[in-house]
Amino acid sequence: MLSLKLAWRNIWRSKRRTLITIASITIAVLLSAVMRSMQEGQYKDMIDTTVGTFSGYIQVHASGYWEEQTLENSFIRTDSLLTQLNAPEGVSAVVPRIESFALGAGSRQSRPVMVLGIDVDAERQLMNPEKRLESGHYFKRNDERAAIVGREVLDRLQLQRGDSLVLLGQGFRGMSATGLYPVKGTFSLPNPEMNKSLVLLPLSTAQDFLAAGDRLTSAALVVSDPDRTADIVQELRERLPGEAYEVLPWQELMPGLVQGIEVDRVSGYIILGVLYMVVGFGILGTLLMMISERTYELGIMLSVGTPRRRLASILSIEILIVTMIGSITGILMSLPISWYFNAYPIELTGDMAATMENYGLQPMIQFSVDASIFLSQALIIFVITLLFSFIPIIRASRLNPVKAMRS
Amino acid sequence: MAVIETYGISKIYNPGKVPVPALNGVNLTIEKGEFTAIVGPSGSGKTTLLNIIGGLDKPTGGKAVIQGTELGGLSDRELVDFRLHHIGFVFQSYNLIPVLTAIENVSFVMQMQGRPAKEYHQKSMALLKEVGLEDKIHKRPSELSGGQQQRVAVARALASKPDFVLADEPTANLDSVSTADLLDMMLELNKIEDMTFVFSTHDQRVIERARRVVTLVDGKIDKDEIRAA
Repeated sequence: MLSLKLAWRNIWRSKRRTLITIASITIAVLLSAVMRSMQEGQYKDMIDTTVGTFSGYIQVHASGYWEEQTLENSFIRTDSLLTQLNAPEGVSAVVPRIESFALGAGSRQSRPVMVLGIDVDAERQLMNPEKRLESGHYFKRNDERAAIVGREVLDRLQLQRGDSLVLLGQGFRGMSATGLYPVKGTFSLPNPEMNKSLVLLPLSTAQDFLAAGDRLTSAALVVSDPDRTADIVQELRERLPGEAYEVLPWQELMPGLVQGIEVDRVSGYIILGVLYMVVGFGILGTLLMMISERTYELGIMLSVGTPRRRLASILSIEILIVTMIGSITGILMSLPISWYFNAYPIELTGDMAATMENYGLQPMIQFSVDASIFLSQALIIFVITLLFSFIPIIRASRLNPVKAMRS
Repeated sequence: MAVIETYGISKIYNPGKVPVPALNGVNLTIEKGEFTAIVGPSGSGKTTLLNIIGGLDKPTGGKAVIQGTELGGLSDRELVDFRLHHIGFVFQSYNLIPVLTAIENVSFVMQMQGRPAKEYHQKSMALLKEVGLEDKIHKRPSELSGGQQQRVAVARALASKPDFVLADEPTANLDSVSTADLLDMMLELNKIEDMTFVFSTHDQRVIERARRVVTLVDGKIDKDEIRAA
């Protein structure tokens, strides 16, 4: 109790110095938390854009499909398979798909397009094309002969809604694939590349176009908790015969995305490391000054019999209090900033927006409000401050009382 | 009964470089209840001798024995504990802890000793009353005069129930009235509680009232004069 009382009163002896120290810790926590919030927000946005709204967190294919993505590596949809895929806890939907490439043509232009056959009802759980329609209407049945295309596909093929889209390609086992489909609507996905090349067909229509019968190229799984992805993958790998199927988490489906995030994260850590060092040395300087100013007083305390450990504990409590105030203030100041930019992301324009679109990302910066970011940054700054205060505290507790009183 | 004994104490500063001798074979015995002034010109070794007796500094040669315990045989941690329980200190510049009130300063050493709250509170009150500051117990040092601060320092020195009180030039910063008051108080404590006081001083007013005056010159005892009470 005496140590706490002494520490608290000592802190407020030099209000200006204490406030400067608290401010430096607050700013460090604020900067590091907001920076990490921005980074993690962008990563989450990237993952949600590419994974949560298109590929799904898990995909099941016929073995070898991911290595060689052809219809020859497709699998037959069966009720027992769908039951198995739905079985693990946390799987909220199974979205069957058939996917191939074709040449899309209007009356004057042709372009390569990606043809994706979707289950009209199940797809609402993942891509949800109905909500992403910019014009027209969604499919009514899986055997409807119609196409919905990305918003830029029409321009690229010089078509209008209601015109017929010709698709030419190769079907299952080398069969010729040809079809004529009225364009029923256009959609807009967060991934700009998809808007330029994706053509959606109802599943049965696509299977018919590709002469694939009841075959699928993938079953994308929607999970209720993305953090459980690895567990579900493990369970499915145990349930399904390994020689027939491959079960891939999004990290394996998109290694480039994972690597990009990791590289960016490391560069962020380097910047944060510099910030941590600046804060650490700032704290070190302040503490050395604080102890130097009180050398005489500390000498007196040692002379009258204050144990050195007690002296160190008083100084440690002072630093703990200051660091806690600074860390908590830093969190409280960073939360509203991150919350605001989570609710109202920064929209990018110009070259920066174009660059992000080229990477298939939304041209905006959305901050994360994951509590662990704020707590971890406060904790890191807290630990750094304590580490940097170790030297001055040890120095103070080892003072020679006679020399200290002569100072 | 001897409270303090020194045998051939010598102290040389900077022994390896430019040696500066401070004490040279000091033999001194101080009995319980003495009121002793260590006097001498600047640089004669007064403060060094007090520091060695108080376990704040180590001699280069010889030994200091306090109540039968040789200080040279104690580790740093044991010395801190020894000072806490056996020696009361009063320094020249009052030396109170600025963020604590008078009563908290007095109770500080008792709290360090781990005494119960009720005991240290009562004892601190009693000591402050004894030094005439019962109406200033909640004042911080900055709110007290120099003389009042030194009285608090004496009360703090007595709080640990020490074997003796060491005072290094306790009146150096006091005016004549405060000096007289402080001396009266110390003499009364010496008389009533049989408390041993050893202090270094230049101050003629203090020297005149000491019962024993040990004069140091060039690190040696030049004169040891015992006066009638």
